Amino acid sequence: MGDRKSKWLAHLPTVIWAALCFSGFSILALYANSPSPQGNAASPVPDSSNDGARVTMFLHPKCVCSRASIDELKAAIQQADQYRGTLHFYITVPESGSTEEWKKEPLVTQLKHWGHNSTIHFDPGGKHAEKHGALTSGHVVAHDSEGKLIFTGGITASRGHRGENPGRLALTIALEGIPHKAPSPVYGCGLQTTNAPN
Amino acid sequence: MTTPDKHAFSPSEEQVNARYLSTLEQSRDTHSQIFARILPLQWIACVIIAATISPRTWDGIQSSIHPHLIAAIFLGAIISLYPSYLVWRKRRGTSTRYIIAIAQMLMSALIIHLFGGRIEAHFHIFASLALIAFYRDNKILFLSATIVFLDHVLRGVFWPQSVFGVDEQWPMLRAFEHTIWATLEVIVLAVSIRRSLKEMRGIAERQITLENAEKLLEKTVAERTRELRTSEKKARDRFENAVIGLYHCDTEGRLRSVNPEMARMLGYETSEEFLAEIKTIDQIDSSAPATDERWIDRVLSRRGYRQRDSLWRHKNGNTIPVRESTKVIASDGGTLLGIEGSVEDMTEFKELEQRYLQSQKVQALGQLTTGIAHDFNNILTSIVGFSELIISAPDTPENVRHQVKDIHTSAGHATRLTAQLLAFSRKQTFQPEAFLLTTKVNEMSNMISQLIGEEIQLKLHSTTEEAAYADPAQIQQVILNLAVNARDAMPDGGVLTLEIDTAHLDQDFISHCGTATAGHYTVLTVSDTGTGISDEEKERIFEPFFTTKGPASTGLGLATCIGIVKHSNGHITLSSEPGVGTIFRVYLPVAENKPQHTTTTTTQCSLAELNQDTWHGGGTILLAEDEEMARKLGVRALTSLGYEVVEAINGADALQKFLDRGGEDKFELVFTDVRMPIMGGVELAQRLKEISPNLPIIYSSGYTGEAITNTDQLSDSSYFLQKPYSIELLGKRITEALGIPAA
Repeated sequence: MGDRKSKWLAHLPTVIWAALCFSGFSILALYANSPSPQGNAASPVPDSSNDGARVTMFLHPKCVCSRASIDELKAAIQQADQYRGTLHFYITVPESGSTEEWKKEPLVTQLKHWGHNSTIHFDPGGKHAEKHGALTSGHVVAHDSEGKLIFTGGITASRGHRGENPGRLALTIALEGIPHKAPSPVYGCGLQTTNAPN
Repeated sequence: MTTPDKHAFSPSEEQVNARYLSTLEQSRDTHSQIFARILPLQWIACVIIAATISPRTWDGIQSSIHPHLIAAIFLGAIISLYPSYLVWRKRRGTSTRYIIAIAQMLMSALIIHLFGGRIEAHFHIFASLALIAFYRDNKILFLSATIVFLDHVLRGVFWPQSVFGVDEQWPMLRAFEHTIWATLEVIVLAVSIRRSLKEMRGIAERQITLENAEKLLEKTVAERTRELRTSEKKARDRFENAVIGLYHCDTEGRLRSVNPEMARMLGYETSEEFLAEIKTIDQIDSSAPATDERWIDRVLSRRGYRQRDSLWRHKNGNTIPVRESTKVIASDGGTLLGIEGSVEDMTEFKELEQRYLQSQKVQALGQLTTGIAHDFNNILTSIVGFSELIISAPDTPENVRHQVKDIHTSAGHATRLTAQLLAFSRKQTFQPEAFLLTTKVNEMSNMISQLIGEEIQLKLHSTTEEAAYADPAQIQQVILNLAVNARDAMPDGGVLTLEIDTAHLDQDFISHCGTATAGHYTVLTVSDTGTGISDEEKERIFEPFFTTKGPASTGLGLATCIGIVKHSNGHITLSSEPGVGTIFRVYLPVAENKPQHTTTTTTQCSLAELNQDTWHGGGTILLAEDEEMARKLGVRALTSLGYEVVEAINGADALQKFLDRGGEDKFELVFTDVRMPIMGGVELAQRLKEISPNLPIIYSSGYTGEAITNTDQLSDSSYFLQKPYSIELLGKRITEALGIPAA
């Protein structure tokens, strides 16, 4: 009996180690798979310039998770063969103070090399994003040529996680003409300061 | 050396298993230690990756540390440090290896996560599996693969989109699809591990085989080395402890080594001292070269074994005779390497050789003198006998009587001379008995005093009452001879000292003198203060006929002395210093019994003491004598003594006449010469004793009584008469033999 107990005690550090590892990975998985809050997707703000179908992505220039979202957007547009619309990136920058640093982030540089039909907009304080109900970096909204919202939400499976996922698939389908009504969860950094000092 | 059988090296199954498992365990242990370093390095890499890729997370313009960085720091530490700790604490068993494998796979999962699930990051899994495969343990490899599989299954079940991108209807199938690539690698690695283990076992077998061969080789080498050392030690011991001198020199004669005996032989304490002073053979070789060619060159040119007698230079400057044996040492190819030599000190041998030659010389002289004395005695017997008959004849004219007396006197001198010759050659009749030397010397003191004269003072000194065992009459002659020599050495006077003492002669002394045996001896020391004897004279002083006194001396005095002393089983030594004096020491064996009587007896009577009439008798005597003149004298002498004589010319003739004439009843006595042709006196006596055991027999010989005593023929009824004998002495012997009282 004593031997069995001491044997267990001998393995106790290993059990604790395994439990800690398991816990750590579980927490990490929970974090990665917890979507950020979304705005009011039910009342999208129509775009003022109605020049055909357009896809708008709202990004925080310092959010590393958003790089995965950009990659997924590129994949979705490449898969949607019939999409001929424009692409707009709204980069949140601070409302006051120096915004130059934010505008020179690598993510912005990466977007400048996107190619045709893409436009970069700087969105001070994320006001424009907020109008579109986008509260999280990586949020995508798509409108058809008639200005109707055909997609809103995230296009990654989890935080910064690349790979095929429902959000990207829904966007691809929407761009091919089948609107996706339900908002897709968004994983990324907040575009607006949640607890901004008064 | 025989070649061991190949199977002798083959290891047993148990040996191979033990080595294989030991090596495998060692390899795994080493690999654990590598992992103990790699895991913390990967942890650091995780932190760097997280800090680079996602240092902070943003909420508008506000930011905080990114949870990935926190996870990299803490989760990475948890994953990596515990296995490393186990390895550091030497807990490197199977369970630790499982933990390490799990940790490595978890590290892959963390890195993939930190990279945001990039497909490229998944290659870390393959690297981890490959690293784990180095354990050469398929169980660990399969466990690692299982972790990958379980990870995908669990994610597929709970967060399918995190693994597969979409909600999956058949997660297990997708999980299998995702892990199939890892499984393929695992299969390849498992096959490699199996082959590796097989090779490892083969290596273990070959290694043990080699080790066994090496051990056998080492053992063989050790044995050979031990044998070689033993052999070298024996050779060295033989060299060091040899009783003859040994040396080794090169072809130029330069000495390389010498043994202690060679050093000692030439007066050096040690071989080192010798070699420090003597560098070449030429330095010690003082022999006159036989040719212009050096000895060593002759040895080298002729090769093989060479021997010579030579003279070597001693440290003290003298030369010593040596016998040198040399052998040329050459390589298998014939190249001359040097010379090995052995050297014997021949000093003692030369002395012995000299002594032997001297002995041979003395023996030859002895035989010569003995032969002369024998024949001379026979002649003297006739001269003495007939001159006595003439002197005693009543009708001899007075002037003739005087002249014959002179003849008789001269014959007496000749008799003493032959007696001395016989004494020297030890053929004189030897009648040893126990007697006191002190008494003998005291008895002779007056005689010695008269002999040496008033100019020389005589001192007698005795410190012992031990009796000597020798012939007193002969010892008297020794004392007289030594006294006469002392007198002659002191022409201007001096002191003659006679001392009697005892001494114990040990083996060392005996080995030098060569004749006497070790034991207790009475010592007569005769010392004078005369002119002394030179070293050259000492060498020859005991030789017969050697004299320093001129023609007047016979040269037989000391030769007689040494003959008598040696005959007595004694020894005589001489020490002398020119101008100081000479000391003779005569060693005589101590008698085991006390002397029975202290008065000396004479064995030979002089003419003056005897009278023919005193010994007159009657009856028939058988006379056997081969010498005609001696036989005639015998007949005349016996007749003059009143006996009838039957004469015979040898033993056989005498025996025949004894038998013809009626034997014992006819003859009162037999008077026979010892040495005769056909049948000698001894054999004649034996034959007669068989017939008439009580028949008295008188032997007579000009030679000695030794021949008779040696054959133990002198019984109660046998007597001996030394030639030349007087008629009176003959009469005395006959009356003694017949038991007739003197008239």
